[in-house]
Amino acid sequence: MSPNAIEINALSKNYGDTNAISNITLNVNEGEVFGYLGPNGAGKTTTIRILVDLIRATSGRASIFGLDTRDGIEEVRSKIGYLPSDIALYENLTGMELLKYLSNLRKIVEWDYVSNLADRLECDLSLRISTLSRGNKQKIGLIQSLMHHPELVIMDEPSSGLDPLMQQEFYRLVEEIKSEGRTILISSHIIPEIERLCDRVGIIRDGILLTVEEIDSLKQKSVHQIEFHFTQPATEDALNKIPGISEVTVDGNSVKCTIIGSPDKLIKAAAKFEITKLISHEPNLEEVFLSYYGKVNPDAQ
Amino acid sequence: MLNNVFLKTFRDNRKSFLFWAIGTSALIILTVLFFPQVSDIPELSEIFDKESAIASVFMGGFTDMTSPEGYLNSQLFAMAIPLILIIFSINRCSGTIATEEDRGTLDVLLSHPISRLRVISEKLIAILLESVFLSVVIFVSVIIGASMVKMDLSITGPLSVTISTLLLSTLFGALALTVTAVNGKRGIAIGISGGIGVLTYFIYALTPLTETLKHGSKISPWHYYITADPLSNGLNLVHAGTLISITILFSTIALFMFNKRDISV
Repeated sequence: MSPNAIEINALSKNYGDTNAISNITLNVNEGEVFGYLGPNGAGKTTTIRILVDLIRATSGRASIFGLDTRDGIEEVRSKIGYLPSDIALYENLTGMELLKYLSNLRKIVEWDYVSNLADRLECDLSLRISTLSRGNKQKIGLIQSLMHHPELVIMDEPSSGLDPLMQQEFYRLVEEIKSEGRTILISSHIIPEIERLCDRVGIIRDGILLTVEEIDSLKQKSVHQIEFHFTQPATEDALNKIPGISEVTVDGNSVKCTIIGSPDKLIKAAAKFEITKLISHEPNLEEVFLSYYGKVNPDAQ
Repeated sequence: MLNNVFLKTFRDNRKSFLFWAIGTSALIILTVLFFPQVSDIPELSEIFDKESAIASVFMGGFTDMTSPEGYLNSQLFAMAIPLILIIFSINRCSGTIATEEDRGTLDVLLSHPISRLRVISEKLIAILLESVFLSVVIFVSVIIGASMVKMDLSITGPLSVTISTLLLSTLFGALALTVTAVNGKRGIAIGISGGIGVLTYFIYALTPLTETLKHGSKISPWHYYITADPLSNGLNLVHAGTLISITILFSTIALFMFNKRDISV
């Protein structure tokens, strides 16, 4: 049997002249949590929907646990749990009715585990799905993707719509699945989420896989925008010598700057002055890509 | 009712089916109840020229309204009943794939270990059975109405023409299914199959009146539905077989195309 949970080999999908994804080659090891990171429209969902055989690749192949995702799709689907992005569920059913229907299609499910998941996610399964908020629909989506203990869970933007408390519960669920040796593929455009959950990350932009990295090395490169407000007028000099700093702008008592990697030295340097306010922005992905991968050769990996 | 795709399709449609059944049954019984008044006026049959376009388009060429068969054919089976069943069938079949694809629920459904062919087949069998149930409602309503006005009518006549209606409507349903199997758009499927239904009706009704296109009606499914007058003569097996063959052809194309294409987001 293949040691890889997912093998993607030179996968491309074109819509007319538009390349949704181009020549993506990627392996996900068994037992790892793999993050698929990229801005909206980068090709994450396209890749995932090919893996589940909802759409067909223009060229290239993919396999899951050694089974081709075209020829062996029914067996593949019996081994996976899938949470689509912007999940749509049968609005005329209650949460419980939906889960019963879907579990009947699999013929295996542990109802104790279902009620455990519902309790943890604070999800009332007796309500009709049409009455639920987006976040509560997302919870039912999560339950249906996990309730049969799949060997591989594929989640497309899993935490979208969840409130912060539920996101934490979701993170704990992911850690549990990982501790059981099962594999997870998570697509997301949220860097901290990927940093927190994943062992490795593949970064995709405009349909091109830019890099696959250990999460630790991504952390080295993570970008923060930090804004200090001091009690006295600030000067650039104290900050300019700090490694990884850029885009320093001084405006009266405040300083804005961008720092790559650990902000430790920056904070220590700033702490010599009296700080009234400190604001840290998580830059959006596009900025990360522009600062790191803007000139990356598409063939480089 | 949530054991599989087949049963869930029934469950989703049950309320709507009830209204279809009540409406269709009421129309049929009410129409049949007027038969005694009409049959008392033998002159009615002479008003319409059998060869006229009006008689052909609106009465299917059945101008003898004083006989039970002539009355039922002209008032119900020439147009009203097949129209109801065709609308029902197109409505259901165009939604088989397109409704779930449009709402996005197909993504979750198809991530389970069930093939596309199985999903569509189970749904189609459920829809076909629904059409059969509606046909039973039609047949029973005709029989009830006929017995209320003591119409001299055999059982096999209404049964044959109801089966013929079922076959005709299923053909147009299969056409609607084929369109959604190719492009996934329900509105387009209803438009194309409904449009072809109307067009082929006029081909069937009008071409026999012309000299040059006298045999043109043979390209219309409606010809194979009613020209042999199944209400009076029983089911014409060649005509029924023609309708079934075309339906199977459309369905096969639909399954093949749906299995091949991308599911839209």
